[in-house]
Amino acid sequence: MLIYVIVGNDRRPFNRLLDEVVEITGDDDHIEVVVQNGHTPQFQRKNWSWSRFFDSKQHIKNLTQSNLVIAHAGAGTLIDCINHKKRPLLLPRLKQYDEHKNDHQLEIYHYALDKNLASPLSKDGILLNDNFEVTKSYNFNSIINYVINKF
Amino acid sequence: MVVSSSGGHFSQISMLLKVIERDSVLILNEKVHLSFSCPTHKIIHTNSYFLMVFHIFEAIFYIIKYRPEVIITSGAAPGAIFGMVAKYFFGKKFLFIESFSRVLTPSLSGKIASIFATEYICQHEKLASSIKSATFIKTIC
Repeated sequence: MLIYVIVGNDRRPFNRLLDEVVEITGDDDHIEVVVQNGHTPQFQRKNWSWSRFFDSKQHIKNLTQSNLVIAHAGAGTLIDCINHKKRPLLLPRLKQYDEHKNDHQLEIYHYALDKNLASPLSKDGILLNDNFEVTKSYNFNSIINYVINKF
Repeated sequence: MVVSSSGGHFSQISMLLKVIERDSVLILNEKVHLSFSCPTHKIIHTNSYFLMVFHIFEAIFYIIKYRPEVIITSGAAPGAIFGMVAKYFFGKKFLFIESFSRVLTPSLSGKIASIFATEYICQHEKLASSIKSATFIKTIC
């Protein structure tokens, strides 16, 4: 099983997400983890590989190859997941832990759970995620067409 | 002229940029991992209000240099500043696309843009209904 972990590009570290992934994956040898760790420090762990930022090609490859995506509740990440038919497990970055400048990630987090586009990050989430298909897609064309017609 | 911060801001607006690339100038405040053939400039990255003033001068410089017809931005703050300079100093159009991440409340740059922009587009109905000037465009289907 391949898990792709996306921390986000904010300059504040998001250790809480990686701690949760360590907790969830435990010592299971069948789980391979690929992390885009951004500005969060890396650490040594068996079967984990890291890059601060993958280029977009590799990022998409990681998304498609992974069995599960675990990520911060960022809009860019969520859109990429939806459009590659992945339902991610999300953990929002919160201001109280100095993980973001405000709590705006809670908005898209609750929206995504509400619309069945994501699950909350927990051990049950992994099981939940097994047989789930994202049927919706994110389509920016409506905005593109609007902008082009207008200007 | 497309002005964008990195992360979600950029991943959304890059979809638009792919279509209008040929006629665009791209202004970024952080490195991104996608390359476009249009002229691209990196401006300073700052979170301090004091240094935000610097963006006004950068905006004047690049707008005089490229004479864009419209400034399109998805935030964050530098985008809103470029947009306001373009609109009020140069009489250009300022188009703001609110991030998909904003479901209920506007971002800081969006709040500014909802007052000053030529057009403020948002991607969630609830947010659109709380802002008079907003145009709602659906992106999830």
